Amino acid sequence: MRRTVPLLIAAICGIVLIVTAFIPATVSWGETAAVWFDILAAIAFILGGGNLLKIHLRRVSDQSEGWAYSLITVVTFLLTLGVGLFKLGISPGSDQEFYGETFAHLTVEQMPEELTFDLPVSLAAELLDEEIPASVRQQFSVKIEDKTVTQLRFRGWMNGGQRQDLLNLHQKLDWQCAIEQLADLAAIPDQLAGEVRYLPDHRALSVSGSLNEEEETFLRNISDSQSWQRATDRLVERSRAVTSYPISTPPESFLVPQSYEDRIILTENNIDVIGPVGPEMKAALVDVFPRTRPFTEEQVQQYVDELAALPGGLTDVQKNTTAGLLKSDWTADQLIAALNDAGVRQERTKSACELLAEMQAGEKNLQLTVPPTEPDVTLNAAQEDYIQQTVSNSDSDLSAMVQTLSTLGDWLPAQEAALQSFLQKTPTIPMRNRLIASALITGGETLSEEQFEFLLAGYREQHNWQEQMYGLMVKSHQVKYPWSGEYIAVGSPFWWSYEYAFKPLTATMFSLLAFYVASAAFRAFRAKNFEALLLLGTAFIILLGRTFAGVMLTSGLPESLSAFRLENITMFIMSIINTAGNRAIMIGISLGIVSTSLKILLGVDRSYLGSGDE
Amino acid sequence: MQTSFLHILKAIACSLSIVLLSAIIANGQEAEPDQPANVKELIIKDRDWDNGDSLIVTVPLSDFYFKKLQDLEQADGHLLIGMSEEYGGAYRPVSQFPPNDGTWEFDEEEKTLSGRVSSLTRHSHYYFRASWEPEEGDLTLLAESTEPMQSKRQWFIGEKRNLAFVGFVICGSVIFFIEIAKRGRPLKVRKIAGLNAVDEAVGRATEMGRSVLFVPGIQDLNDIQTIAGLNILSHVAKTAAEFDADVEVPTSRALVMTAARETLQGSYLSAGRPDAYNPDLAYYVTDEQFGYVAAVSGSMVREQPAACFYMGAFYAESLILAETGNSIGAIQVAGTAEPSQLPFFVAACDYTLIGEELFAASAYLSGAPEELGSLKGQDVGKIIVAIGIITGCIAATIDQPFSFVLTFVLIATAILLGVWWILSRETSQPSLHTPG
Repeated sequence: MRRTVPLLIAAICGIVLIVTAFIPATVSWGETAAVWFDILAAIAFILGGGNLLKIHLRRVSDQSEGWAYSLITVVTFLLTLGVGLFKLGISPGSDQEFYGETFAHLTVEQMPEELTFDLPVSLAAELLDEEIPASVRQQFSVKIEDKTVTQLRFRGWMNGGQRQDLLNLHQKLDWQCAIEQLADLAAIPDQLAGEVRYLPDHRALSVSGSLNEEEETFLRNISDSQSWQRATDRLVERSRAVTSYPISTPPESFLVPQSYEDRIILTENNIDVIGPVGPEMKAALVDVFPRTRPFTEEQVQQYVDELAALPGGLTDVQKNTTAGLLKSDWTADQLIAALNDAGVRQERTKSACELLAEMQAGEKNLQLTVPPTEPDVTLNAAQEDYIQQTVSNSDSDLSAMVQTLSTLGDWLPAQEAALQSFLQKTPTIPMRNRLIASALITGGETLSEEQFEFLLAGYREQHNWQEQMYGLMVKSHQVKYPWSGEYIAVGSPFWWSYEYAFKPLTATMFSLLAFYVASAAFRAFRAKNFEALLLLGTAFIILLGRTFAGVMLTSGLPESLSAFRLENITMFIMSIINTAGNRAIMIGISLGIVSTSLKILLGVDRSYLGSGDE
Repeated sequence: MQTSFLHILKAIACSLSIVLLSAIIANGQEAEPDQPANVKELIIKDRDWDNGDSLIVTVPLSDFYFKKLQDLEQADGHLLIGMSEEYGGAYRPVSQFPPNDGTWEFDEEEKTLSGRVSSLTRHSHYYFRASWEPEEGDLTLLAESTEPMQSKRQWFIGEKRNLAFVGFVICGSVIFFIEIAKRGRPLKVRKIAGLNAVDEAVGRATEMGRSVLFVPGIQDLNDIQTIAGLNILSHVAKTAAEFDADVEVPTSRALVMTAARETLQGSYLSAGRPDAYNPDLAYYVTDEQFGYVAAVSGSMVREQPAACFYMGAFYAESLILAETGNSIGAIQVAGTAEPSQLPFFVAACDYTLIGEELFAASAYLSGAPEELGSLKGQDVGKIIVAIGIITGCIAATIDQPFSFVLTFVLIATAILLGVWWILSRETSQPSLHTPG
């Protein structure tokens, strides 16, 4: 029995895995078997760790030969296990932490009745034969009567992703129209949109930034339920926590962004911020350095002359490099092209309810989109001239061009967005100068200290300010999942031991291979008999053919005899003779695997279980 | 006379008018091939032998569009396949031609273009529409399906039928020869020097009063090489138990350790020495490749085993282990199915089991007829592969279809086998060779 049961398990699992390769209905069985194996391997791993400790502790205890090695093994094992398992010194995973947001615990079940949205419908029940998407499984439910879905229900607010997942479940217009209606019903109110959301997978009500009085009142008025009020209290309390962070003198051009004025108090050498700082707020705080704009020929020459006039001067190559980099910056024409692209009007995609109405009205050939009725907007000559003049004027504010452009001709909101996006992508002047500095010192050229200072002073200030704002973001963050970081995160004790102890040791073991290859080759290539001589000859050709000297030796052979060049002979041996031999071995191995697997599945060979005897 | 002449003139005029009218109508049809009345019925079929996620859409085309689509360089638009879950609903694009994603095929005779629509769900009903989408301008509906179509899952994946057939033949022949062997038919197996040396190696260890080291590779139990290694361990351990020598089995996987313990226990039991079994002889070292090598090499240098066996899956550590074993003067037998590691073992070990010999070892050592039968079954597989290689070479050389050449090769093989069988019956009788 002790042998029969394992044999039976092995046979069943093996046959199931073979069957799943050919029969689609059984694919899930194979996946289940694979999961079982993983669970078994995980349990066995604990067994292995226990065995390791037992063996080595006994050796230490008995002080048998080499017990010191055992002691080192036990200590390092426990140390690695400890720092890895408890994730010592590891920051939470940035993809799990929702920077800039505050969470309050609230399960779907605790969601108030006021946020339960019901939509009466009449849909075929078979539409729900498909599995409900995972993103809405907790919040979405239906009522079915007589094979008809009579009601759709959604608890909490529906976000865009959830809406799309439900729409993708079926292409039928009545279903999609019902989902659109439900999504409208369960849409987050405008007063909270973009600030508050519900995350069912995290069982959390979340607020971005700080909750203001108006939002708080609105949130509280949604429901009187205890859990809802408790969650609101927590959000109010935590999202209004003040973080104080010491900073050096801010850059000259720094002004608290208008949208964050109510959350930031700037004092000398200190910044106080209300609520957590998210990536968007951090980007706004950091975006204070002037951005580049196209240079005229005179401006380029002026810049180069200024740099060359500093101690150290510039070589001709450096001057050309500097001028080339300055000219390769963005141009007004590129901006005009981007704005014209944004002026192309887009087709509007019809909603499912619109399409359903058309279909019910008897339309047989439904068009999914509505072509734009108005013509595209292209910048006129006055607008283009204004852009050309403004970008070349270093005193002008590029982001303020919007007002003038809209008065000079047709102007779309999409073009305004495109203008802001374009300007956001242009590099800051300190970044451009840093790029020039690194380009000027490549190829053996160098710069004087004054020149470095001229090019890098601004970037130093920018980098310093960015670091401070990052520090502010981290300090104001409220940790949500302390253990969510990767156990091998850079800088952690586990990473340190891996990087500076484990990797060098394994590399040392691996490098021994080079010496062992030499000694093994020396023995293998001794010309004892004809076969060994053949091996030696082949090895000689291959070794020589893969070196520079080997290629050079036969490079004098004419083209008609190029097949006899060492590198070509080497290639022939490796790709024809060696591959043929390898494939013969591989075919034998494959057949051996089939035969062995079959013997194990049929229980013909039980050697691995000890013997065939019960 | 005049009347007849007028009649003739009238007849000619009428004929010319009819011809001209026909030409105008025909020309008009050619110039306006997009009339809604021309909408044809799409042919939708379930894709045979699949997982139930695809349908084959066949679009009947007029000459005009057939020529247009065949000449991809001249095509000024493409054929768009739209899909909806209801007739007359919102047909969303699911496929198009060109480009050909490899699933589109023309039928010259039927003037159709067939393509595959994938990623469907089995519970839904689908309707399709094929439209011509010019580079500029509106869509022209060419064909549509008016009946709903559902994809069906077949019980077998047709794409794997060749694999299933070959697998069936090879497995069938293995089972066939196992049955033949069970009935007492003598089978001849060539000698494998490395396996004959097992007794010698273990005997040497016993004489020298040292242990035997057995390394079952660095892979887990789900690698068939590890299982083949444990099969050999069973025989090595049995011999060691009979000779009263210790077999040490350091493992790099915890599951292999537990399996190796079972193997050792069974072997000591079948050797009649259950009391001599020590479970600590099989122990876990580490999963890390070079950590494992460091531990095993260190152990080899310290304990100086007289015989070392390396049977299983090895990678870069193969030569480090084998050279360490060589440096301590141990007799070494290795076996692996990793072709890249075989040269290292051949260079550094006394005996090496090359590829399939590793899998044949258990049968060879046990000498059990049913296990030896499986080796004969493998030979059938080799014959099939050999026939395939020869046929492929000939077919490629003379530029003929594979199946055509295969017929001749099979006939020639049958004749040769027949001649060999007749000659072998006259000259020799098969003999039983029981190794191990």
